[in-house]
Amino acid sequence: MITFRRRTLNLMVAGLLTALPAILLLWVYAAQIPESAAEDIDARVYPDALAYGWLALGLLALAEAWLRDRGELIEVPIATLRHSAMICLVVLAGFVVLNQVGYLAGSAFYILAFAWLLRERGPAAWAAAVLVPGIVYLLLLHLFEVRLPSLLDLLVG
Amino acid sequence: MDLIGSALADVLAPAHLIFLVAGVCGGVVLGAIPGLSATMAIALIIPFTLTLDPVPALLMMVGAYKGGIYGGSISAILIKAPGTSAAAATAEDGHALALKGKGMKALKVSLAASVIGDTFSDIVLILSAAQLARVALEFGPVEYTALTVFALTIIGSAAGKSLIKGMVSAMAGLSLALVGLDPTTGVPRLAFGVIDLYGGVSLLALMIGLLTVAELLRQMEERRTVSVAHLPPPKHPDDSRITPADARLMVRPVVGGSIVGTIVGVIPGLGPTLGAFLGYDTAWRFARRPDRFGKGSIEGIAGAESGNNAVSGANLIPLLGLGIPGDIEAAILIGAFLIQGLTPGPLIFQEAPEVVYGLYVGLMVANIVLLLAGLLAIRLFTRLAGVRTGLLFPVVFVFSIVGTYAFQQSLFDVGITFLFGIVGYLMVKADIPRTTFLIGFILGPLLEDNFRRALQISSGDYHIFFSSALGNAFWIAAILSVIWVSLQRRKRPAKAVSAEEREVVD
Repeated sequence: MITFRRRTLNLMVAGLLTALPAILLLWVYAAQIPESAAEDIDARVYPDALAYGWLALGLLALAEAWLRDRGELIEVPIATLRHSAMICLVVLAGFVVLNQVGYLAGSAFYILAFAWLLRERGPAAWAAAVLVPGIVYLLLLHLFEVRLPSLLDLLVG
Repeated sequence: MDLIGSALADVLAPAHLIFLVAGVCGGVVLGAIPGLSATMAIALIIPFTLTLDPVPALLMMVGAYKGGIYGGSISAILIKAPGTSAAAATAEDGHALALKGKGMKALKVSLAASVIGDTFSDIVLILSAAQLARVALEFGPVEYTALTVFALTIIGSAAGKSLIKGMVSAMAGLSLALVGLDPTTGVPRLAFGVIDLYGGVSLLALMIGLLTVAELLRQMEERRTVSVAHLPPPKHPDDSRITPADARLMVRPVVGGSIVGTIVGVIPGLGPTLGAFLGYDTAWRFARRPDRFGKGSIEGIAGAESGNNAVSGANLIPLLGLGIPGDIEAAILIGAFLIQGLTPGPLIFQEAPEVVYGLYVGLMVANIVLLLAGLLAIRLFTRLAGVRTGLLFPVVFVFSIVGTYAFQQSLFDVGITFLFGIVGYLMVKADIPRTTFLIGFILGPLLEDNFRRALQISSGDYHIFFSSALGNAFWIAAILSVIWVSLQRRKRPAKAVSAEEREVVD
């Protein structure tokens, strides 16, 4: 079991929400928003207005986080944290498989990995991992003329 | 009349009607499965409508919307696990009836109340959206800027648990909408040299990521195991049907719920969950048998379900009349309009009247389809409440990948979906509402366009934003809505039902 102070977590979230517009204003907008022609309104007027509004609200969020939930503790079981981390990891790993090997392998990986995490470890999970991506691949190809990126493309040429 | 006649012929054409039926049934199926929702149903269906004409595409989504909201009540009644947050108000009384062997009666009451609430709000939509659009045509950039800020303020302040986080979320959504080509100069901005970002962040990828993938991740984290209770069988034939006495009991709550739900639907940001709880509350206030509430009250189910469903039609009033989505489902529908090359708002009544009238007729026909599908397939739909989500969630996850990819055949978009899936999941953890983020993203171009046009008219003088009486009324309304919501939250922290339940959808 890991114990967190709710206020600390809230302050971290509010800090991130405040830092994001500050980063946009200080570094990103200057480099990424080209200037307008002389007769137009400055291209940064609207983005700046948004970012300053966001920054002001972020500071309010920080104040709110500072004032609220003093002393309140949250207990999170390590197993829950591990499970959440595993889910995010599966999403990222599956995207790599999807990009490198193709849709069929990526989808099968997702179904098997998530089903395993959700304690569906029987033959039904294996059947779903093979059949669902395959059927969807064929349906999309023939009904919508959409070819999903697949290792099959490499094999067939 | 010509338009209505041709819309009727258009909607009832077998090739179009089949999409409406598929949408309604698909929505009921997804809504009935605990953990899936009407929101996810529409988001998942959008990619499969891309090759369709606007009318059948919208019919399918509207059908899914209505079906999904009703579907939520099936699992609420049978296993007390509402498929949608809006069905939470139905769960208590519906499940209590089911435990007495009257589950089928509860489902039929819920169906009848849903269809009546839906139909009432659709009629209000048909009568009022064009009038609202006529007024909105008089709006200039100042009024539109103020109106958009007002809508975002009320949505941001009403969604989630924290007013400030709701507003921050809206600002983040507006800022994300900046990515892509500058609308004035046509030069790429905030694209970091990535060509895939020159057209902006894909709305579909964002919607599927924030709403579907994030929700699936959240549901998978909970490792919810659904157990279908062994409900007792009916003891008497009347236990499975609506008797005349039941019908008389339903009149007051259905009328009250329909009116309350419609009012809630017109106001941006409130949504079907609040409609359901206010409908339930109204039913209790005017109940003939208030003592039965919480113990299996037909009036309670009728009030909650009519209130919940009456939001769906009314939600489209600001969408069609002003181009402003009232809640998350309307935001997805606006996305569907945009993907079809249509811009909802006052001009759509002039530019694509056939689509608007097709939508009107489609909404009414969808109610009939929902009623028929509900009555004919109610026993089949009830089996969905106990489906094995351990296998279903991964499969739906794969469908979300396919849906995103099929839109532009871009793996970059799939990456965006995953990115915002994880962002959405973290937003849920941090109590930051996703609804306002998405609506901010959708309204971003409208706000920017009007903001810049107003400044161009005034040569950069900001006083122009306070130069119109109507615009000033919107600014004042925005400020008052924030003050009112903060006072309400301070006064009734315990009554956080609306916010907390809505967070399930957020």
